[in-house]
This record gives sequence, C-alpha cells and structure tokens, in this order.
Amino acid sequence: MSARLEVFLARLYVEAAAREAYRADPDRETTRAGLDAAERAALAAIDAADLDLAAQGFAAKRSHKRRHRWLERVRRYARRLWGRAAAGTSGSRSSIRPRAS
Amino acid sequence: MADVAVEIRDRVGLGWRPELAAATLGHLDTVDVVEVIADDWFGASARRLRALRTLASQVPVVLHGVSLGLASSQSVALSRLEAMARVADAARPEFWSEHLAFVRAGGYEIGHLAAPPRSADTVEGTAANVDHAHRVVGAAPLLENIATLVEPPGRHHSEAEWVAAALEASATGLLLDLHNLHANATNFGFDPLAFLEHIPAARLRAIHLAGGRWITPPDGRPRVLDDHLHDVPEPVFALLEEVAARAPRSLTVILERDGRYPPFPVLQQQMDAARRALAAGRKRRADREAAA
Repeated sequence: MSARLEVFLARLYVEAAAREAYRADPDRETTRAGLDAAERAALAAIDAADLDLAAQGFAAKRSHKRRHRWLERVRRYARRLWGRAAAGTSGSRSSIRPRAS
Repeated sequence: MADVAVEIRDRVGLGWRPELAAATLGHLDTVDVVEVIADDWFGASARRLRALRTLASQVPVVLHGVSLGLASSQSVALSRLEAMARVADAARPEFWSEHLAFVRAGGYEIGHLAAPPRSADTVEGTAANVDHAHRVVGAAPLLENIATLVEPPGRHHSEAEWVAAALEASATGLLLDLHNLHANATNFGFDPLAFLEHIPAARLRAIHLAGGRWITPPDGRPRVLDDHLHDVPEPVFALLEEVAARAPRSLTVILERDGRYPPFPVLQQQMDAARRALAAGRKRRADREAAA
C-alpha cells in the first residue's frame, strides 16, 4: 500500500466533503487518487461510523490545539510584561510585542 | 558462559505538565522520573532550554514526541528531527519516544495521532524514519502503540502483528501504552493478553498509564475514549501486572494526565497502585523462574 493511500486517508480524516464524496462514489474518488485494487479493497473495509467518529476526534484535537496556541501566546505576552515590570524596566508598553510563534 | 543476572529496577513517574509542576517538584521523593513532552520545547529560547536542563538535573527525565509521524511511508522532515535533537541535547534524557502513528500526508495535517495503513510499506517507512531519527537525534526512539477509533486499511493484519513487525524492522523497543491497548481491545473486540503474546518481551521498555471514558456515538455502539482526563481504570493495572510478569528488563512507567487534574495525592495513589502491580508481576516472574 502506497504513500498515495496515506494521503487519501489523511484527506478522509480531515475533510468532511472528501468523506461524503467517497461515500457517494468510492470508485470515482479512489481512481482519481490513483489507488490500486488492493488499496481500494482495504479502504472499503473501513467501518463508516468509526471513520466519522475518528474524524470528529481529530477535528476536536485541531480545534483544541488552535486554542492552546492562542492561550500560549497570551501567556508569553503576560510573562514578558510581568518580567519587565518586576525588573523595573517596563518602559513603554508599546515596545512590548507578543512573540510570533 | 555463565548466566548474568540482570537486576530489575522498575521506576514509576509522571508526565511533566505545567499545572502539576509545583506539586511534582515538591514530591520528588515519590516521583522516580518525569516525562517531558518534547514538542512543547520545539522553538524554545535558550533561556527556556536552560530551565529544562535544570529540571533534568533534579530528576531523571525522559522525552516524548507527539508530532513526528514516524509510522509513515513518507519521510519525516529533517527540520522536525533537528528540533527534537535540540531538545534532547538540552534535556539529556535517558531515552526518547514517539508514536507508531502518522499525523500528516500530502499537505493534510490530521492534528492528532492516526493509525497508518497496516502494510509492508508503512513498516519499511517506520524503520527508515527511525533510522533517520537515530542519526539526527543520536539515539533511536522507543515506539508507542496508539489508541484509534477506526481500524485502518490493512485490517487483515492485527494491530499486534503490525506493531511487532514495526519494532522488529526498526530494531527498537516498545513504549507500551496500556490504556491504548485496553481501549483498542475493548472497541475492536480482541484479547489484550493475545496482543502481549505477540510482542517480544525483550522489546518492552516503558509503559504509559492513563484513563479515559465511555462514549456512545450516534451509531449506539459504546466505545472507550482514551482522553487522559480520568483515573487509570483497574483493567489497566491488571495489564501492568501481566507486562511485569513477562518483561525481562527494567520498566519505566509513566502516569499520563492531561487535564481535570485531581489533588496530587490522587496521582500518588495511582503511582502506588502501579508499583503494587509491578511488584505482583515481578513476583510471578521470579516464582516462574525459580520453578523452572
């Protein structure tokens, strides 16, 4: 089973539209992706409900990570502000910028 | 040649989390080792890395990666391995580990650990990625089994067969996550002890313990979700005893908790339960050897 199958699988995990298109016409979608007969058969054996459940879990993780990254930026900004204030070198607030991640 | 007795010195520790840092540092008498998430330190300043080095001077540290995606027929980017090497250089861990998972392909970021197709290609790809990681980081990672809610393509190979093949091809050890094993065994209806029978005991090096919860999706079929937000359930401790009864080498056992943190004594109780399970398993192993 090829790298093409991993790409196809990743797309199914990430894109609801890709899952819908695959369910509507698996032959068309897998042919378009260049998958061979063994790969198509392996995909066909995947439980549809399990696939949806896994995809929902991955979407929740991606959302959680986005929130976490945003909070981390805020924390870093607060730490820098606090550090400068504690050192008595706070200066102009406008000179402090959150670090690009 | 005379047999050389190997002294078994199992250790039990905790995943390093900012929310638990103060309590962990205050109880190093009961925490043998801490596991640091390497990815949290990718891109860290020199100052932050010095803090990591200071931590490592106070308690044994092991490193854990969560985003390399080693179990893939596609190569892991050198920049990711170099980031891991930089953190390893600061932490000087006793070992490092990553998951038997793929996390991206063809520009799609899955966002979490996904089970790769169970194929010869992914076994070979894993071995090549582990070899590359070994050369860049300076040591090969232990590989961890993952929890999955969907059986990947290639299900005519069992998970145990595929994991054993990946370990053999990669010539490295296993970080066995017992809650992942418990969850997969429950959700897909296989015997976790049969899984253990498939894994060469000499490859068992480290253990993860965690908790999860039951969910009931729209299809009405309840599943165990590995969420790291709950206490370690009893079947996981029973599996730990089974592992200790088999493993010929010392084990490093890490309790993972990622949220809904209980008071620290609750975590200590779970670490104590792990020590009891280890002791019971080691006694069974010693009794078996004495009887042989």
